[in-house]
Amino acid sequence: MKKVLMLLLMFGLMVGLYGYAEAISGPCSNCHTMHYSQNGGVLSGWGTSGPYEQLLVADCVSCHTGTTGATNPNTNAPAVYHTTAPTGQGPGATLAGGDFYWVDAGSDAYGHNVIDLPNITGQDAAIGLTPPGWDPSATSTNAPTGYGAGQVASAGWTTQLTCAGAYGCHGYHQDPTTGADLSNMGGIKGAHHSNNGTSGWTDGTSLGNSYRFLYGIKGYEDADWQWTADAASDHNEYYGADDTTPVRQADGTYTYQNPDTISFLCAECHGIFHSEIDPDTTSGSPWVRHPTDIALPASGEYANYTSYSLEAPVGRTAAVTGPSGTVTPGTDVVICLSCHRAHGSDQPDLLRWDYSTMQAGTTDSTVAGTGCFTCHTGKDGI
Amino acid sequence: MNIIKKRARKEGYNRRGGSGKGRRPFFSFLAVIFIILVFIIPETFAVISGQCSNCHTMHNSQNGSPMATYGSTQPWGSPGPNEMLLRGTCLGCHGMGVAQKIVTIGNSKIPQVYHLDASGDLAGGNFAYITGDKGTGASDTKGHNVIELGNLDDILYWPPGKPSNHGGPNAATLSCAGNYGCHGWRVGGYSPLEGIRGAHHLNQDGQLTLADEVYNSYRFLKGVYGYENMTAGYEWQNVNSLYHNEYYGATQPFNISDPLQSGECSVCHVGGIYVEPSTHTMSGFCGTCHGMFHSLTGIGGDTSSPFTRHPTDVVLPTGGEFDAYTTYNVDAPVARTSVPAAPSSTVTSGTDVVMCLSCHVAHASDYPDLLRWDYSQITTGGSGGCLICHTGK
Repeated sequence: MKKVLMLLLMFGLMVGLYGYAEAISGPCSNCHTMHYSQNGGVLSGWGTSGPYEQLLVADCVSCHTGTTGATNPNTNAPAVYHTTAPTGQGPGATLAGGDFYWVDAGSDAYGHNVIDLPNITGQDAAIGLTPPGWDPSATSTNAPTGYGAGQVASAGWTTQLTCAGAYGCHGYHQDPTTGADLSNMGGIKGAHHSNNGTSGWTDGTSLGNSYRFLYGIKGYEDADWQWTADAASDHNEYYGADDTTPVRQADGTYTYQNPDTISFLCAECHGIFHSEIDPDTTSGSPWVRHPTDIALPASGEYANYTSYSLEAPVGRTAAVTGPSGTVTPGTDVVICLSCHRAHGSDQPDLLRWDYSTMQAGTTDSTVAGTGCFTCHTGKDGI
Repeated sequence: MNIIKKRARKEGYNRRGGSGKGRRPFFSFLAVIFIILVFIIPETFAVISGQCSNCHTMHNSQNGSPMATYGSTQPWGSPGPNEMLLRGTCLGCHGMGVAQKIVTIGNSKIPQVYHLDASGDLAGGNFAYITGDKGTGASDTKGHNVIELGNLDDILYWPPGKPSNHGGPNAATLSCAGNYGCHGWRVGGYSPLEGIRGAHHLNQDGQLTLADEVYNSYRFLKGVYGYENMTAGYEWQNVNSLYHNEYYGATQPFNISDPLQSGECSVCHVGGIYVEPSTHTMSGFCGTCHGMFHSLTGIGGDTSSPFTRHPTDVVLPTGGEFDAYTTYNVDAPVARTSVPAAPSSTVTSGTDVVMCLSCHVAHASDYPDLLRWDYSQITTGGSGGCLICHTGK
């Protein structure tokens, strides 16, 4: 009996301290089909353009499409693309990464134009294939071990953005062993079965142990992807770094130092925005581009941002065991996701708020203290 | 704490009238406060307003193209990125070279110091006279050749009037702001935009008598008192005797020697580091570069005639020709020894003060030496120019 109790205690400690290891569960047939054939055809819940890699019943988008809820009702996968217009962005409307609804509906500026979406037929009309801020060497030097070239589209942008793989965000871009470019499914292969996140800290040491399968990226994954969220105690935690190394000046030669941050992930495509932010070799204001992976200053207007905002989240510079409602200027860092959603939003440039309403000196109570003014507390009129 | 205050304020805005007891006196009190704020206390807090994107770009990229395009038609147009994430440099924003002396972008008004507006210039003048884009022809003598113009002064290297044993801005470094500029913090190592950082967002105008920060100094000239004319329709302009800036002056200029002596540093290096006039006067500010033109020693040793150089920060004398200068003339403005809360149309000899800007403009004019008038045309028996004060000549 003692041994049983001891085992139970150890299990409890493991779960309590390290979070659940949320590898995917359920019947194989929920996600896989051996021959892409059943009764001489395909089942109603399957994608229609199979067969699919990894013997899946559908592609990335099909599995992760929803209507009005947090998940796809068939696959129970988190819905990053809703077929019904979300009522806005944020909890109860979209998951934390935002939603592809708007970009798929035809507004190029409102999201990442991944070609896998049902109504995306070509490149972004204004931008083309190559992401703004693209720097082919921004993240290659310090890429995680086994990551191939580190960059998304390391050979250049000849193919449109995809969900995962060589031209996507999730999974490996190149085969860690052979260095060969990977497809969507090739990049994400095995991740769902080894998922270590979903309500726990991911340390980036493997794909399954990377934040939202963004290989090498650390972070704390909220269990319901922030479909329900509370600034005080129920949200993701993003990993950031206070990278004050002098290589971040705008001189065209850049090597970013910390490959584990969520902003590093963004820099794999938008490197210049992340790297060439400083006009000189002394890190700090004045900046020439909005800094990311830089600590929120502990002085001036920034010192007033002390309560976590779901609208303008900050990154943490160390592993956390759970969400915190506190922001500590001087320690917590500005990240790309402080302003942008990863997938898309109801605002141009995937922003978290309506930038056109951000009026310096405003006393409009619906705007003051929100958006940009969450950090720039001295720039509104209250 | 500030957030708590903000929330408290928001709650205050939403708060309703309680039980209703005593509400009428309360509203009367509010009405009185409103009237005082709107009609009696002059406008002193005019921080910049408008969309962030009017002035800033986060990544200098939109649809794959640069956003730092302000002033791009001019040689100083920078493709960016710029410090403070701005869409232009100092001159990029304030020297677009267009036909308006005030440019409106969205709901933001941007005063222009390099423009082609035929209706006149802002109070500080127009750098376009230096290049000849406006006026009667290009000349380095017509203005301060800030390096942003890309047109260095071929005649002067050091500021004339500089103490012989002191450095400072020169033809290769003089800039709009910062270490070698006029505006903002004039501190070693500060770039122009670094020097002016934050000032626009905290800008105070109207009557400015504190000047302990850039934003509450006259036109962001650190340490200078004054009254900034921001009357609607006349912003940044000296229009006539009714609508104009008011400059601060003193009854005696500061005193330094040539060569500069130990103990005289604090005249201009207040606090030992940054540069500003200890007298807080407009002329004292000019004197931080052109010291001997302004200094008591430089003008003859005292505040009485005969002078060896034209005095500034000296009272317009009474009992002579100066008594006839009684109506403020924007062609030869005087300074006040206390900053008024509103512009005055009256000039009082014995009280008001002659200053550098009585004869010169700050940026550039169409006349040599940045003068407000054509000195070669000022003749005895004539009118205007020098004769506005020297009425008996």
